[in-house]
Amino acid sequence: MQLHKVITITTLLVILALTALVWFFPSNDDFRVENKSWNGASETLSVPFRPVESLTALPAGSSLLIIPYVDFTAAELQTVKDFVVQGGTLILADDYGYGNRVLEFLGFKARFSGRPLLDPLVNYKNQWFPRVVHLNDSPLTEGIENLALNHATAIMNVPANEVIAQSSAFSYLDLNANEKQEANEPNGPHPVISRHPLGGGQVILVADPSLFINSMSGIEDNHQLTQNIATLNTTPLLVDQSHLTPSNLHQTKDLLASARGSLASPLGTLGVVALALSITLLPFWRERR
Amino acid sequence: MRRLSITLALICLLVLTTPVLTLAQPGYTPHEDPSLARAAPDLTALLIYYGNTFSAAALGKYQDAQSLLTELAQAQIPDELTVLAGRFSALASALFGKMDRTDRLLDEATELAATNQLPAARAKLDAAAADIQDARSLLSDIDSAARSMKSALGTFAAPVLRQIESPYTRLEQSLLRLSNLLDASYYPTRLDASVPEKTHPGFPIPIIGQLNSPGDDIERTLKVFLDDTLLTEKQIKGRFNFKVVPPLDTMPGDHTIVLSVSPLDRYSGATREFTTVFSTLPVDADILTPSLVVLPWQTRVSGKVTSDRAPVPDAQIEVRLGWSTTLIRTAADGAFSASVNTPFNLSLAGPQEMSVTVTPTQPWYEPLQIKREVFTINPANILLILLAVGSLGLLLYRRGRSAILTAAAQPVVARPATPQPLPITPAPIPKHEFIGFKGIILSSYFSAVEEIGNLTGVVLGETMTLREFLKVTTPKIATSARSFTKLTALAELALYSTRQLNAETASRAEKQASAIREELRRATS
Repeated sequence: MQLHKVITITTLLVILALTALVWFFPSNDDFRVENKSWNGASETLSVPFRPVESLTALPAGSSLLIIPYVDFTAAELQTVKDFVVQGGTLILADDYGYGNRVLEFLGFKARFSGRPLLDPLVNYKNQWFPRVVHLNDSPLTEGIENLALNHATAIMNVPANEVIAQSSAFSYLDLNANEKQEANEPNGPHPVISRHPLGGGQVILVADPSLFINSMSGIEDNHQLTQNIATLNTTPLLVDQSHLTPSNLHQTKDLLASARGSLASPLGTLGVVALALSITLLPFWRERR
Repeated sequence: MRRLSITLALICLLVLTTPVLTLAQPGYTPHEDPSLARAAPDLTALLIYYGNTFSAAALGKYQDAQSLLTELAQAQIPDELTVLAGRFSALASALFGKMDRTDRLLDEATELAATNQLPAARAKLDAAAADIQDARSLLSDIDSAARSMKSALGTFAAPVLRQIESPYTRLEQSLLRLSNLLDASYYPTRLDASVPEKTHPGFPIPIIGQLNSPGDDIERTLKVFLDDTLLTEKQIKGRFNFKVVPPLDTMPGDHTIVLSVSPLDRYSGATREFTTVFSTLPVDADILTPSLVVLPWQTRVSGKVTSDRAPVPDAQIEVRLGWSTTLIRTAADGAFSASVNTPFNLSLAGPQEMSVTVTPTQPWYEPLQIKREVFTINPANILLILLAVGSLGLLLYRRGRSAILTAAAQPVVARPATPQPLPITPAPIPKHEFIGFKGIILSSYFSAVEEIGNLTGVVLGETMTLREFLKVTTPKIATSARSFTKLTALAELALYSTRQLNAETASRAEKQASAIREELRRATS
């Protein structure tokens, strides 16, 4: 076989193999519904949750879960505000991301602290997993006695009547990140879930998106919280995946998916058929010449 | 070869590096795998928070102290300390309970004395005194438990005991407050009301009741709260009957409706609480969907939406088939009919899921989703695939036919193993037409060719050269190959060379032919 044929065939095979590897390699991105490992949300945010890859065309009156690890554009912030004002329910689950950008734009005084919430006594395993034992009566807390957080933060400036869940009195915000409580570090209880009405809708703040990862679902009553969120609205709850930090793998998968989408479109399908016909009929054309 | 090696090396490098770059984890994860987290109970924090609990009690915040003890019960405590810490917490809880009860008894005694109910006030005081005795006994037990804790945890007990002395002093002082009673006029207010036990978001709730205040008939302000949200404020006197509308976004579940009349001058306030269940009504939908859908043409979906046999008007119907979504609304009788655009896709034929989602406008109705399987056929794709497969078949047919024709045009080497070799007409060998030395050499050659042909089955065709015949037959006449090679060379010399032939050459040809004949005969025998 000639050299250029060997190179061409080998290159094509390698490209095909790499494409297949990337396509079938399981996702490992945090909070993604495609990720079936401990840090994914394949079990927790599956049906009736519905993942969306952009914040456009949000159905009025539905519920939307955002984990804001990527900054928002001005248009996105306005879309989110319009969605809530027109009767939607926004669940903003953040710890160290861009949640405060949304809260600022919505005009709330509440803010995510952005500092680690530690609890040396009431916890699951160690102080990085605070257990939430103070739950106010709410449809969100129905059937829940305890929640376990995972590297969470707290919500600040929340009026008492808007608090849904707070950490224990032994928790504290580790301002200087030395994992020890000091005199100037605020004691608990600290709000970790709160509800804020806005226009015709409402915003529910959750100070730890890790509540929604697969490995946290079976701990304490975390699974029940997810179920309660799902029943806030009987229409499927939308899960925004456009503000999760995308990995190289995810970007590559997206690229492949968009290529597949293009091929699956009417024009793409015709193009593929035309290409197949051209390749098969090329020898006839050469023969005639 | 060198270029191929470099290319393959580059491809291998690409194979090894690309997955590593692509499949790498994100750089920062704000959480950790709980199954791998290390359990680490914090004893120092346990001691600090016991101290904080007694500090709260020392300030008279018994409820806060009790709350802290309740939370400590949920703390991660090592197994060897669980019993001791549990006993210590139980004693402290009993002590705080006694102190709290004593405080309340004293307050109640103050109120009773204020309304000149002195015998009842005396009973409360006696009960408070008994509680203080009990508290002293508990303090003694706590002292013992604290010593045990001290031996177990070192320097823990001493600061706790110092902190507990202070609330006792405060309790003893509070007994003296009884000597300073204040006179006060007091008119109780009685509020009777009824609120439905079940209702729906946005649905008007009737509030019916009566307000009674002794000795006077004045207008009072009644506030109605849903949980902590003020729904309405009414001026009422005596019997009242009005309706309030709860917010549309009231979540399903138990809610508290509070009727509250504020104090006014010497009239006390009154409050009534009711638990009302907010729920939504289920809807039904009879839906007619086609069993067969032809892509990408439109199809029709119709039906009727009802709730408890009553039509649900103006409900939004979302019909989804593949990527295509159609939105319509129900008419006044709950009926709807929609032309659904079907999506063009790669499928040829097969079942697809059609979902119909009903979202009523009225907040007290529950949304509904129904899924149906419909069989879809995509004639355009089927045609395109048939075209592609047909062209491929045509190509294969043409190639096969071309190969057969080419084979027919080329000399065929007959092989013994081949069952039915193609019939080939051998070139006629002019045995007696050669003259001179050239004739002798060629006669010798052709006689050898005939012998070899008989043995091997290979025929010297019209288009076959002498060397091609030699090449084909050499593997089959191993013993005579050398002689036949020499004879072929002599025959080529006779045919193509301008060199003058002589008797010696002719003789050599005859000898070679003779040798070949002999060798072949020996081989066959």
